Amino acid sequence: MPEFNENAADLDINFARNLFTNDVTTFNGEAAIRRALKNLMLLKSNEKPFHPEINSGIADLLFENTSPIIVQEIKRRVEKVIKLYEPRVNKTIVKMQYNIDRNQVNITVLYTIRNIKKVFDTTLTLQRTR
Amino acid sequence: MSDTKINNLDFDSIKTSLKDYLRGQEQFKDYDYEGSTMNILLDLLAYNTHYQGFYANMVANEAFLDSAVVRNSVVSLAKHLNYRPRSKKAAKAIVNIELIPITSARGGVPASATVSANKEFLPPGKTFSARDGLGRTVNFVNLENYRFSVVGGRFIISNATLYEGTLQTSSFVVNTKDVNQKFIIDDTDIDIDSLVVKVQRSVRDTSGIEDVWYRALDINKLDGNSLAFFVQESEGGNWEVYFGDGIVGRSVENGNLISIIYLRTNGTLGNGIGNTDSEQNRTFTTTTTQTSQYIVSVVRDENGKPSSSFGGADSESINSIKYYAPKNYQAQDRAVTSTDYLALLAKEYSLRSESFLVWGGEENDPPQYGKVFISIKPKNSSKLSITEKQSISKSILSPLNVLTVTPEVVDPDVTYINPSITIYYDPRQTTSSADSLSQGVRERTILFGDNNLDQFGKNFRLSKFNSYVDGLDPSFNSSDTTLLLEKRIEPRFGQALPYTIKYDNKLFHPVDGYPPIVSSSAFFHTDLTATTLIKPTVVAYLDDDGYGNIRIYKLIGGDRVYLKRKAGTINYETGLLEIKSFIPLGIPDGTIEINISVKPDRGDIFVRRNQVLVINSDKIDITMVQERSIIDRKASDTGFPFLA
Repeated sequence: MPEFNENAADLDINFARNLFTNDVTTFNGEAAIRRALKNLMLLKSNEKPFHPEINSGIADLLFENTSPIIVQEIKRRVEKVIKLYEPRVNKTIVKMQYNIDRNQVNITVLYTIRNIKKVFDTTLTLQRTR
Repeated sequence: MSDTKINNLDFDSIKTSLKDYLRGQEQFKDYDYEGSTMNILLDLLAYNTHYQGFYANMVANEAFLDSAVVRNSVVSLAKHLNYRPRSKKAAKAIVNIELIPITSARGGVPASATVSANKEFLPPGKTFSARDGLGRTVNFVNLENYRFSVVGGRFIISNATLYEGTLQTSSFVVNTKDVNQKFIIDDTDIDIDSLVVKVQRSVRDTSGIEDVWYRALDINKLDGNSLAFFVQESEGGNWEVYFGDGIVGRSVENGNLISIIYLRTNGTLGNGIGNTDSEQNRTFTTTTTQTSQYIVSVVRDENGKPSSSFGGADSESINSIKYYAPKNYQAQDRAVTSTDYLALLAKEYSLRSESFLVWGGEENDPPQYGKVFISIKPKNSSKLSITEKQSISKSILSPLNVLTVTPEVVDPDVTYINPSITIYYDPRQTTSSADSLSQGVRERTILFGDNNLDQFGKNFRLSKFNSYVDGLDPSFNSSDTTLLLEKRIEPRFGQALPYTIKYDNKLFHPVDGYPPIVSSSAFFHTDLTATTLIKPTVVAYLDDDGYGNIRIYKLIGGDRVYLKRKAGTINYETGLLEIKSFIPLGIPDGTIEINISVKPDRGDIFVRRNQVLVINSDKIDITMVQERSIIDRKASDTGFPFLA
């Protein structure tokens, strides 16, 4: 079972410039895991070469009408992808909040990291772009 | 830092290698988690490496004849072996054409006045229409200039060759400033043997148009003035014509107008046309001119049958090119060994033939020294036409074989198998009716023949056949098959000739005097038992007496009355049947063949030399017998099978 490593480091997916070092921005520790969770939730099917099964499948629900059933389905998918592909995280709770008038769904993931007794959270908002 | 592993090019292995590589550094540790950016970057790198590796692999594949799959690559590689893939081939029909002068409608002057002996020509390009077996119109055209000869006051061209297809023209203006200019005929259906190339000085200046350019086959014979052109298959199956460089073959100059006349053909679709030709209903027709009309009759073979069009073939497939290009290179365009003959024949006939066989005359029975025998089993028929056989030995083999060796094309020795199949089945195990099961057995039997027989060197194995049939339906408990071997002879009616038939298998003969195992189809024969001066003709048949003699008999109320008790002999051990001085007078159903069947000793039938076994689809006898399962058998039951 992978343990949490404070020294673990990952790159920023936006490849933003670190103003101090003029290098690509990196994330360490808990911040890296938070970014990884977000990346997993946004993975579309067939986005990973040769591994179409690694995805959250949320994007497939793009044109669905918002309803409690669909919101529940998003929640199920988020829980599943984190459970399967982010082994550093346990005790995940996904909270859903949707606003029909604004065509918006907020996904909040509460989680603990292995060997750290602290609850972290990250929020992803799904909304129309224009 | 671990060593870079490059022994595998699949995506997961590459990614694993990259991870192994990253394990050796301290800065980034998140590469193992699917959601991490590092992992996404590794995906990208692994995908790119995999893509490049796959591309390099495919490029390497296309560089070798064995592994190339793209037609252009295969054609290009075959070019290194001096092999030009076969284009489509137009079917040929051999016909006689008679010109009938017609009376001028206006003045009543016989047009024959303008038709004079040996001055009437049939120029190339005249279109002749014909209908194929499906009622479709197929066009034929003559490619040569024929002159009508006067025979008994009639204007006739004998044995003219018509080619299936239509003539097309493609023109190019030479532009030497364009270094990449190619003269590609935008047509994949060309018979390249029909190409006629004309080069005139320019679009306006027609000088040079009368020059005859020819297709170069041997560059050793070319110099800077040779009017030779070259042909090669180009991209997409189109054909490219190109010219010499002024040293090997004359070059074309800027502004020259090149006209290429070619035959666009339908290949195999043009075969088999003309066999229904008769005086009342001519297969080939052509347009009438102001002064003449034409009667086109198909040339008949020695048996009086109209010969149908032949020789049409589709362009060579990729697999065929890959198979024959190296063999053709081995043969070096010379027919010396038997494999050379096979390679040369296959080049022309592989599409239309089931199989080939070549053997030297010294191995023949009886030996014929100075000859080489070729036997070809065409697809969908038992033998080639006489004209086709002549065409093979004269046009294809004679120019390339050793001078003192005469190639002779002989028909395959076809032995038909007439199976009688009894199927024991349990009707409770199937929802199909006996008729549909019987039909299924028939289709399976024919399929077995298609897959396992019909070629030289293929033996019939009864147990394999039975297990193949048994596998048709789970309700089949067992099957029992008996065979008859049938040979067909085409006798000369009214002439006393000997006939020898070789079954080449041991025949069923448990004891001398055993009931007849020979049977034949009906034929007309003189009634030798008649006491009248002029003996009548009766319907007769052949059988054997169980002592090795062939007899001719007639039927009177189901009883056999023998016309001749020693018409020939049969050797039960070798399967050799000889009939001496046999004078059949005709066949009751108007056909030209007599079928002679025998019962073989074994269920396995063996072939030798140019024998081919064919399942006779017209004589498959199937009996369906219903039976109960064996566990139902009671002490009171007698006999087997038990009817359900």
